[in-house]
Amino acid sequence: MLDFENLDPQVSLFVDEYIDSFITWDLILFFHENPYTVGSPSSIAMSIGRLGSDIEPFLERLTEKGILSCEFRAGNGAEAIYAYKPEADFEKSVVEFKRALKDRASRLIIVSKVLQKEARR
Amino acid sequence: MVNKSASEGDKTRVPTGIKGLDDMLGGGLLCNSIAVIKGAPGTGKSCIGMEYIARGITAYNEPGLIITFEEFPRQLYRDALAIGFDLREYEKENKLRTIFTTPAVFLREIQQPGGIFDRTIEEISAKRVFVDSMTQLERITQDPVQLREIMYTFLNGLLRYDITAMVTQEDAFITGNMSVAEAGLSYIVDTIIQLRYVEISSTIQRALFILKHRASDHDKSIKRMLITASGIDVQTAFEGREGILSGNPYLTKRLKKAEEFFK
Repeated sequence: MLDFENLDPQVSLFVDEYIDSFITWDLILFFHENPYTVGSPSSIAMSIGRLGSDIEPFLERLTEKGILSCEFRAGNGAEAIYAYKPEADFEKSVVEFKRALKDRASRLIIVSKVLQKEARR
Repeated sequence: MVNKSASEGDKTRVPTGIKGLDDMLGGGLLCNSIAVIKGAPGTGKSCIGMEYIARGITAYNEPGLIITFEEFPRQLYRDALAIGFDLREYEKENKLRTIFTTPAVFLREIQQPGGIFDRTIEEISAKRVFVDSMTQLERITQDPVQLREIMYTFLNGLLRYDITAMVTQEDAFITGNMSVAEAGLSYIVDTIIQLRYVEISSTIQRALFILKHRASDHDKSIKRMLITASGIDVQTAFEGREGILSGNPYLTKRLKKAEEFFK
C-alpha cells in the first residue's frame, strides 16, 4: 500500500496544484530543463514526443496559471507561440518535484496521484 | 593573451577568443557580420559556436544569444560543460539566453517587430549570436529559390542589431566531396570556416581552415583542431602532408624520402 503521507508536503501541494496530467508533467519538466524554448503547440509536442492537438489544452491551462506566456502571430498558418515565464518559487518547486521523482517511493505516490486525476477527467 | 574588452582593440574585429583561430582570422570576425562554420556531423561546429559565445561573456563582457533548432538546451549545457563552459551559470547571470525553437517559429519572430528575438536581444544587450543550425531552415521549404530568400531574410534579421553572428551548416559528406554553397549561404555570409575529418595513420583527426574572409587577409593553411576539456585548440598546420582536403592525405615527397632513409 502506498502511504501518501510519505510524500514531501511541499511536493504534494505542487502536484495537487499543477500536475493534472502526464502531459502537464512532461511539459513542466521540458520547459524547466529548456527554459528559453519558444514554440508552437506542434513544435513543443514534437520535442516531448506527443501530438500537437493533445497538448494544446494543457498549454492553455499552464498559460492561465501564469507558468507560460502565449502570443498570437497573424498571417499564414497563424498560431499561438508559447514561452516559459515561471515565478522563482515555481522553479524551486519544480526542482523539489524532480528530486522527489528520483526516489522510487515518492515517484510511485506522484504517479498514483496523477493517475487518479486522469481517471476523474 | 586575449583578456581585454573587444572594444579596446581593433574596433572592426570581434575576437572569437578561441585559441589559434583569431590569428588565422587576422584578429577575429568582422564586426556586425556573419560567419558560417561548415562541417560534417561531429567535426566540432557546435563546440566552436558555444565557445565563441562563452568567451564573449567571460573574456570580453559581451552577452550572447544561442538559437538552437536541433539540440535541446539541456544537451548544449552538458556539451559545453565538457569543454569547460557553464552555460547555465551565464544564463543565471543574465549574460546568455539559449532559445530552443523551430526555424519556422524563429523566422516569424525575427520578422515580427517587437517579437521574442527583438526583446531577448534588448533584455540582455546581446552582442554575439550563435545559430545551430542553418541546415534546419530546409525544413521550411525544399524550393531552392525560396530557401535562399528565407536565408537572406533570416541573416539580415540577425544583422539589424549591433551583433556579430556565427551560424553552422552541415556538410553531407564525412570526407572527400566538399560543397561550397548550399542554398547560397556561402555567398551571403562574410566568413566561412570549414571543418574536415582527416584520416592519418588509421586515426581520424579534425582539420580547420578559413575558406573565405571577406575583404580581409587571413591564414590560408589547413590546421589541426583539437576539442579539449578547456575548449577548442587550433594547432599548427599539417606539416609534411598533402591532399588533406581529400580526407586521405599522403606524405610529401620530401618527408617520404626522409622516412625511407631512416628505415
